[in-house]
Amino acid sequence: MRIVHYLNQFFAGMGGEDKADTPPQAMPGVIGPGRALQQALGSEAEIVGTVVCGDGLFADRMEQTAPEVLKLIGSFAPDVVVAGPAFNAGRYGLACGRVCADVIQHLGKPTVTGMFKENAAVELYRELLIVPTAATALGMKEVMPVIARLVLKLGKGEPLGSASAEGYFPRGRRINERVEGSASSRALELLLARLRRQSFTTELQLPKYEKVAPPAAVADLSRTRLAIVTESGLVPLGNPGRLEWVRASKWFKYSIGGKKRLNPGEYEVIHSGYDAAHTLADPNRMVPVDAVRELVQRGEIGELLEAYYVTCGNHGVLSQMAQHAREIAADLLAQEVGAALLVAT
Amino acid sequence: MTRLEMGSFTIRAARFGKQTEYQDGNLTIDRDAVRNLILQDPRVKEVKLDLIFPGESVRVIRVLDSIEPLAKVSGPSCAFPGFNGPPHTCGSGRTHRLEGFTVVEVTDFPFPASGVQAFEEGIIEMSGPGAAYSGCSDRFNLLLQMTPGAVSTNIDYDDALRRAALRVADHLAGATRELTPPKLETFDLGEGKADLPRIVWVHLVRAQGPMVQTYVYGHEISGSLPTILHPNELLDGAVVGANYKTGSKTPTFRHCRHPSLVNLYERNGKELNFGGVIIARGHHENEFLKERSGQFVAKLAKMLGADGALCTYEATGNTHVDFMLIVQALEREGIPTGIVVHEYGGPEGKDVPLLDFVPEAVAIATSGGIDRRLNLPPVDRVIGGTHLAHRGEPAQGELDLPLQELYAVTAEMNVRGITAKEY
Repeated sequence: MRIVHYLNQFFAGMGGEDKADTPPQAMPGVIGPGRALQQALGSEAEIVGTVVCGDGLFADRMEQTAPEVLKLIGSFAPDVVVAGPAFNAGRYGLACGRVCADVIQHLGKPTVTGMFKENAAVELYRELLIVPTAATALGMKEVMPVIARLVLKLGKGEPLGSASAEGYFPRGRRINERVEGSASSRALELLLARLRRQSFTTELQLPKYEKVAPPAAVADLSRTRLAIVTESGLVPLGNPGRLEWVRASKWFKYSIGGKKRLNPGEYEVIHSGYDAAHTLADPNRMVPVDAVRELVQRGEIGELLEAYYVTCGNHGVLSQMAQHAREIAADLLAQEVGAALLVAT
Repeated sequence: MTRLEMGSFTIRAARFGKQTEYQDGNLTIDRDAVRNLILQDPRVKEVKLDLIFPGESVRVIRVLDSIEPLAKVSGPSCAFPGFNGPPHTCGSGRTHRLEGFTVVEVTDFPFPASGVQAFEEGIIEMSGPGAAYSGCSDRFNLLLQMTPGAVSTNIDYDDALRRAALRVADHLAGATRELTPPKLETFDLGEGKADLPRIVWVHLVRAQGPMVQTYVYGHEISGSLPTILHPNELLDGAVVGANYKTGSKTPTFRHCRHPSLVNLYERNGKELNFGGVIIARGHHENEFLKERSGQFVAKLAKMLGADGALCTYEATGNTHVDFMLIVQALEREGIPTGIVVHEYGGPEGKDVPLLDFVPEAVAIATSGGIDRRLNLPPVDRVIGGTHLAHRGEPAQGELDLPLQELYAVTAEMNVRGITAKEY
């Protein structure tokens, strides 16, 4: 198994900040921390070459430098590439992240790197295989065996276990697995540990949500074109666009051109998460064309866009729904819509 | 004190025969007797009976509730009180059950329905990769394929078929009435030990309306405030499931022996004192009612002297919000929680796994992502229809669908020890 190791000028022993402009270069065999890595790898893998670049140069001129580094790495025909570890070094972390991402994308080979949890590159390159390290190079001895174990697995094409089992930072995917004991029994274990004041590890870290800042109030509704947007799954009878009843992958814009109100019998509800009886009896209670028309007539709203937007929010996949929202918002802006009446279920 | 003896007759084979009887793990079912029990209500027009076993190349669609047969042998009230007898307090005396056997309701509804009242498929997959997740796949099942008779509404028909299935359950378990059970468990909470923590189980069930409902002592829980049950009452069938959002539903046989209840009883008197069950309705219509419900759960837990609460819920989104408010109310009342959630996260598990949470939810066990996809190979036989209700696809061929379209999958993933891990 052929391994190529990427290092910065400091770990390659060429110098500190004064040598941060060291251009990309390749050397056969191991350098510096590569020795510890080779030792941990044992006889199953060989570090055939080391590629070095100064952190300053890589950071300042990344678009020119990264392809040069990639070419040098490729010249050794690696099976697996190791970068760093970068510990808490910011520019080095970004370089390691970029090198790994390029190797995966352009050479199609797996990579491993290592970083301290607060290194900015950990978040930026979340999908990469990054092993947690100490903040400084004092942690080199502990981390190299972990990196080596992952390298050997990757090189042999063996599947990786979970982040906690293998010792890498979670890459943003959660995969179902079978474990010992029902979820109820495991929750009870967690509870009993809490009550005994023992340490415990929750199986799910609470997610972080993007905060949506409330927009400023519409300055003058009487001069604004308004559109009605809904996730209620109200579609024309027959569901011409085949909007899905759950996990909707589509949104639609349906004309209301000239209609004073939406007539019962002309619409159906494909959303299966709420009681649609009221909506079917009077679709205006979900898409209030009648009320908006009245407000337009009274001069309180400038104008109603002659179409409504619809998707289905039932079991919506968050990223999918955010995508629908961006697309609908762009379409609204293109039609100079200044306000949306968002009818939820 | 409430003391329940539960005699379990494990089923290892089942067939139709002249008389309903149990012998050494073999259940013989009198087809005519079962038919008569069902058809005595004119609201059911016809019934077709089928027995299916684990490992068979069978797919069942249009599945509603499933019931592990119970019959009261001695002591007050009956099994499934409120349905099979007056709503008298159960949970003591002796009950017999047919372990590993289920009576399964299979039907279409007579009237068109939309929105939440539309049929949402829950598929039982008796073999192949789907069997690892699907409810009833590891059990012997008597399928009652019913067709509607003289009914005025879908709700009317739903009532008829539930009562029919519970009568059948009583008839089957009743065949063991005079027999000595091979396994006899005694369920008694005891006096409690002073040095052990008192743990209550908060059982949040779903009640959105017709077709998404849960029954307590024969009546829907919709209008009810959170209340207290002795765990023995659940063992005796005081809670009957009628939630047909079928991936997310808790079938009656899981209400009876929920993994939370089983685990708390196993550890009772050793690691903890099992302090009782608080059953609460999920899917309140608004924030006000959700908060009110959460406050009541916390208050009841406090009055029960709880040191901690094990909390579980029946999916999905709306009820999840109720659930998190309950967790918050308990924690703020000084009652630590250990909770079970199931996740979303999209087909690849890359999306946000929970749609709502409170910062107090710090001790979570997860039963895995229910929207990961699964490929089901074609099967030899489909029961319950020819096409999937919502998708309209032919049911016998290969299917590619998310786990949550398998029958009772959220409860099943809890029981079978599935979790989701970070990769």
